[in-house]
Amino acid sequence: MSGQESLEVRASGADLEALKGLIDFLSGDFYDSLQATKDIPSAVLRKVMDLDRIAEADRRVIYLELGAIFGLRAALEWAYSEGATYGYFSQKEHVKDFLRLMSKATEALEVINENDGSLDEAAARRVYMILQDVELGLQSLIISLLRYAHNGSGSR
Amino acid sequence: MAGAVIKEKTKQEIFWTDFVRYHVDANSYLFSAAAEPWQVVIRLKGSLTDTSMNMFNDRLEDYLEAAYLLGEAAGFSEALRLLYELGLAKDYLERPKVLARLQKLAFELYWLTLRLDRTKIRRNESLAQKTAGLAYAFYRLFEKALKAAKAKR
Repeated sequence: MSGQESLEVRASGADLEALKGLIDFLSGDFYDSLQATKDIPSAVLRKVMDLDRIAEADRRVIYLELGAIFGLRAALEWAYSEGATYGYFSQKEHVKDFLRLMSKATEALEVINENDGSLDEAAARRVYMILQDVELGLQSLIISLLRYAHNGSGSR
Repeated sequence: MAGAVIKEKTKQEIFWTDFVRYHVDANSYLFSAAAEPWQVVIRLKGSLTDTSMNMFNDRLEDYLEAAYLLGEAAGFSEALRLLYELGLAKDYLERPKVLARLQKLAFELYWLTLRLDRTKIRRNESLAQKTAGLAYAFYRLFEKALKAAKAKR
């Protein structure tokens, strides 16, 4: 590992350490984590909208994924606000699962930013795959939540 | 053939013979066809991707918005399917009235894809508006199913 690479790794670790308090705070309350991440899907949408060069077919399938993410998030949010989550999100690890998924979604933003205004087929596919992972992760989270609500236990 | 009268299939007949081609037990299959519009979404995704761009040029924004809203409908319907499959809102979702509603929604989604496949979208017709209605309908069903599941618990 070169000196510069080693420095970058240390900086990244230091960043994570510095952000630990924030992560702990957000994972302490599902409502806070919902609020803190609510603009992520729309931020990706705006970025994709503003791209100068992307095949329209790619743009459309990315829109479909973003719509699905929005729908699943809204379903989770609604279940939480109606008190139908029965303490599932009282466990920090469950809130962190959600935060990890939203963090994954921001990787789509990184790919778009790296590509500076245009997405070729390979980059568009990366964005699509990231969003698909988020969508599937949200589905798993809902399954886990529903099982918990149904069984009244913390089993996952 | 001279003199033969060829009866055109109705939309409902096309739905039954094409989309719901394997149904055996009407009620159970009907439900799964209606509750899994993801199949229909994939078809629509294919239609959107494969159709010539020339046709969409003057209405691209409407199509893109429709794609997003369709994804949203799929998200809600997926959540609904999970509720059903885990047995949490089975009674509610199998009520005749609710079943009929789901069938209607699945049919509407399906018909939308057929019209896209055949490029039979009327001028001045907003796909986004139609899809928004469907997404909202799926959201409302999810809302009610979840309430039913909660009441049963």
